[in-house]
Amino acid sequence: MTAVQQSKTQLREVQSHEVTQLLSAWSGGDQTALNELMPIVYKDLRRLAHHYMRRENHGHTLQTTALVNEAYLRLAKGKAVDWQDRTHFFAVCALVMRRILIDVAKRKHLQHVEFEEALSLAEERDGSLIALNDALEQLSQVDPRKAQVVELRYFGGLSVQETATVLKVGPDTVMRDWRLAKLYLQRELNNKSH
Amino acid sequence: MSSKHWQQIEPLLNEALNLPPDQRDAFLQQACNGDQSLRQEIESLLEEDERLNSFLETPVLSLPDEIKQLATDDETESSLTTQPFIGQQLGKYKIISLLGKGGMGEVYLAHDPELDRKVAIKLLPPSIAHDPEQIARFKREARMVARLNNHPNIAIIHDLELNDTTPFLVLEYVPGPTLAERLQGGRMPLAEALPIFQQIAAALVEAQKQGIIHRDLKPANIKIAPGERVKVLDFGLAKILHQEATAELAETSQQLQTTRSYWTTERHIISGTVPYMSPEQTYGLPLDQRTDIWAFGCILFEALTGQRPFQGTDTIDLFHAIRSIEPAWQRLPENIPPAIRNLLQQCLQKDSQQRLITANDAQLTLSQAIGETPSPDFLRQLKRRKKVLGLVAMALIVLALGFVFRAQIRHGLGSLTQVKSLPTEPLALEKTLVVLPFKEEGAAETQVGTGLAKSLQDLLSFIPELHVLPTARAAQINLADADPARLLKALGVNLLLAGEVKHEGDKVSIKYWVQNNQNRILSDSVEGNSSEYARMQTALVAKVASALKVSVIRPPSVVSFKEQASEEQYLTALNALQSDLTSEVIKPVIKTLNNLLQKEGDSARILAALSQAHFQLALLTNDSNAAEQAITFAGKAISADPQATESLLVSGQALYFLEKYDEAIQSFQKARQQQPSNIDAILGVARAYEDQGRLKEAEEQYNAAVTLWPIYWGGYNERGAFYFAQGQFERARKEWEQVINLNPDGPSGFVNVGNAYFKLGDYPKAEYYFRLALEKKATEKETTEDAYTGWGAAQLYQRQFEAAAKSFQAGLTINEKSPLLRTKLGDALRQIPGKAEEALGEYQKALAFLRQSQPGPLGLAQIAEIHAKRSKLLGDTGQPKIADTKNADYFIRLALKKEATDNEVLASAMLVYELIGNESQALTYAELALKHGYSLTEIEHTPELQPLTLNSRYATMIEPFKKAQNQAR
Repeated sequence: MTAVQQSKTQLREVQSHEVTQLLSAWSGGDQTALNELMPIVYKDLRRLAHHYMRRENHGHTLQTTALVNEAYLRLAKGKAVDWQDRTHFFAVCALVMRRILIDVAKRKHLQHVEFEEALSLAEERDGSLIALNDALEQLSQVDPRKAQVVELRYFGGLSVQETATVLKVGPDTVMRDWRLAKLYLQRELNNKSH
Repeated sequence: MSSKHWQQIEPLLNEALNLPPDQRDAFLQQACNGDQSLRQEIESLLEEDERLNSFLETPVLSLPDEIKQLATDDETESSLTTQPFIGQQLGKYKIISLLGKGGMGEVYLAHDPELDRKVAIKLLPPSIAHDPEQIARFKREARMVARLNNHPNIAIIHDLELNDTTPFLVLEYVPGPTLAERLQGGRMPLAEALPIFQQIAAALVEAQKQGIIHRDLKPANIKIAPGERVKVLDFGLAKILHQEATAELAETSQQLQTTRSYWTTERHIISGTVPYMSPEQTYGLPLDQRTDIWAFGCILFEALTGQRPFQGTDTIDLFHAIRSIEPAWQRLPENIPPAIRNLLQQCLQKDSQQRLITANDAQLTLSQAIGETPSPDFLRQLKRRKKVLGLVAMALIVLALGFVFRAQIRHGLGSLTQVKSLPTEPLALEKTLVVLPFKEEGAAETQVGTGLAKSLQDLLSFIPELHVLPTARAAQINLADADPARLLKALGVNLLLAGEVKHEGDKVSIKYWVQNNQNRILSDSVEGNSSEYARMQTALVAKVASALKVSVIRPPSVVSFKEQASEEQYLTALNALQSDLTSEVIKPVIKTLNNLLQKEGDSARILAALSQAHFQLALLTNDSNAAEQAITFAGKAISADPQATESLLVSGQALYFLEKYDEAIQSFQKARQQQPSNIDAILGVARAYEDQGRLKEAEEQYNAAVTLWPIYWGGYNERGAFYFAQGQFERARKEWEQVINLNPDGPSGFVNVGNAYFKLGDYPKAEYYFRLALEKKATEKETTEDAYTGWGAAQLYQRQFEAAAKSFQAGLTINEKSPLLRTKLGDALRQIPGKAEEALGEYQKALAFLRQSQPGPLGLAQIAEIHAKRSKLLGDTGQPKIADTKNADYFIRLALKKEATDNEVLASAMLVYELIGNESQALTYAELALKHGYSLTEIEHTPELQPLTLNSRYATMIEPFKKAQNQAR
């Protein structure tokens, strides 16, 4: 078995049972399931990053999005994952993405970069991301659902419909939350930069 | 800001946002009720609204729908929304059918009543319309893409409708298959590919000029409209139509970027369809026009090789291949010009910096290559039905089987030194003769009458001044009619030789006479015992020749077999071969002939008979081995006797059966040199040309047959069949009217005219002719069966279901095993209330009969049709239908695999897909069937196809055919 095949096999093992079970538990309302999911998804993203690095001869750096796209493919591939669960999985990825991106931005700041070398983020974005993250933290204090909407839509790329499904609200609510949250965040960021 | 504070702000902010900006002040004044800090807070947020633009609109993470679909196979998501739209009104458009469903949502065919044209409607996610910012972005994008509206190779955007429940894009509707559909049929010859890709390149040139990137160029986005006009679909839509929150602004930043671009510029989603993604797309890097060049190269490679350049078992593999592996260049066909090879290599450079930059270069290279490549002979792809099971086709089987061969006996005649010159004038009437099957009395065990007639025909056809019509053709006439004048007219000759064989124990007496229009010019008899057939035949031929005052180069004499008894066995075998044949009859005959061959050595007569027997077997069982054997035996017969004309004909027929047309033509031509007036030789050449698609040459040969035998109806009959197969039903009808004129007593002319009227859509006339045919009391039960089939079908199409069912039932009394009649009976019963179960039963029986046979492409298509009909009926009556649906799909694919250009098979595919609910496929096959000569009228009158004809994509599709039809009339 080549290294590539081996790592693919490992990836499949992770995905099969645990993820689907945890996902359905989470979408069924079990919040502890999310805490268990996060490290799995996080680990998977890391593994993928290494996997890519081996295959790419270090010739290219890996785009974050491409990486997480793969995570989707890997982890959501299980047949047992229905659409609801899949949407929830996207939500998990959104959380993980946010955490990874902020980590990377912060570590870069501290010149402390490990596997995240593989993740290329535009320099100028790092500062903005940290600021956005802070503003989002603030928003979650005053209106947690709106912060979640931003997290899911901006970090997770979920559509309005998908966001509505995860949050168990109507699409109109999501649209309204989204717009207000953006107003809030934009004003916060403007205030900071002034 | 505290949570409590925010709760106070939120509803007011919300309400203000919903008001027009000029009313907001007044509202806040009143709502804040003097709370200045609250008002300031809200106003500061409202200010942001004006600058919001694309803030956060491009998510960090987003997947194109294609990849989401790859991730899971369940279709629940998309199927939720599909069907309810059909038949509904969307704005001013009426939704007709679903055209397709892809990563970017559903596309419907719709009708625009104002401009009375068909359009394609692409649904957008409803949430778009809730956000003014999104709406603005969409409009910007659509406006950009609309700049491409003036190019002939780019499908245009008509309109963008952003209502708040169902926003949609209105696009040009382009009929015709997609390149993806075309490539399912296999790779393209260079000559076909070049003009198509030249047009795709032209589209890319225009897009590059306008600064627009397609970014999802793939075979499914390329349509081949009628006239080989290529249209590229969905230009720029990959960007517009992506999930509402995934604006991708980096590439066209100068047009689109607004303030705060740093929030949006970094995001590069992976868009595009994976196999055609460029390496930079797989990395999520910014894209430019070279990404389309890459896709163009991928598609060209696929078209020329039949395989995608980059493959992988999953996305990771595929990405790896795209990024790091070279395409299999060796797969390119050898005839690819170096310039095209070079172009492909330039397009598929992994590093976009090394890649071809402008589509101009590609277009130029392709244009040059087109000038240097000969265009393919598309006509060669035209193929005619072989053994047919369709309604009308059934009648044509009679024609095909009438084309049967009789062994020609040449023994004892030596070789002719004098070769007859090919006649170009009509034959002199007084010299045309047919030998009727001899009647027989006594000894039922040793039937020789028809064999004897055949043997005599062979001997007489060696007299140069005498033109002998093959005896087999007499079998198509109702011989019960005793009036010689009518018989002569029916046969298109002016002389006939008839007789009777009487057996009394071992004694044989053969009475015979020669008849012209008015009287018997010879009447005589020969006697002998059953071992003396050879001598009796020699004597008979000599008498006839002398009575007709024709000069015989050498007195014909039948060389006796070594054993005298062999002649009788031979005649008996020959007799059996003229009768109603089944494979059970032929097998013992072959055994007898093989035994004879053992006794007699390489006798040309026996070899010829064996060849004929094997060919008959091939026809009955559709077995190519039997045909090969027929050719082998014919070859041996010809070496034993170079003048064995009949063996040349059998050989020609067997070669034709095996689709070796060039060799078949050679064989027929040789036969014609030996017997210039042999109509089977002429028609053999004609048919082979026809099946090769050499239609002009074929028509010339049919004309020659008619010229040569102007009063023989058979030539008109064949020429009618030729026109019929070309879809020229009016001309076919005229030919067959001529058959009726010449042979008013024969039923087959009436059946065929009925068939022509049927195809012309005149069902009352068709019905009339089928009934006349039935009044003629055909000797061949197939003809009667055909007449009932046609009669019933004409009634069915006039929606006289009860009457139709009766006709089909009457047909089944003639041949209870006819799958066609069973199917048609099912079709009629299905329409009669309360008879659904009976109909299902008839379909089941038909399937059982069909499956017992070894179905060819048409048989397979028939099986598919029946399953599809069952599926529809089961569905309509609320029973499970999945098994029949699957079978229908399976068998029609099988049929198409074997015969992809036959209009009957293609028409079956149309019907099958319509019945199993895949109208888009049905339309594709309808177009193909029409292209290959299927009758438009018949489509329009087939009850099952009514929904299809209401599909407005159908109306566009048939326009050219309608025009052609009107011109033909």
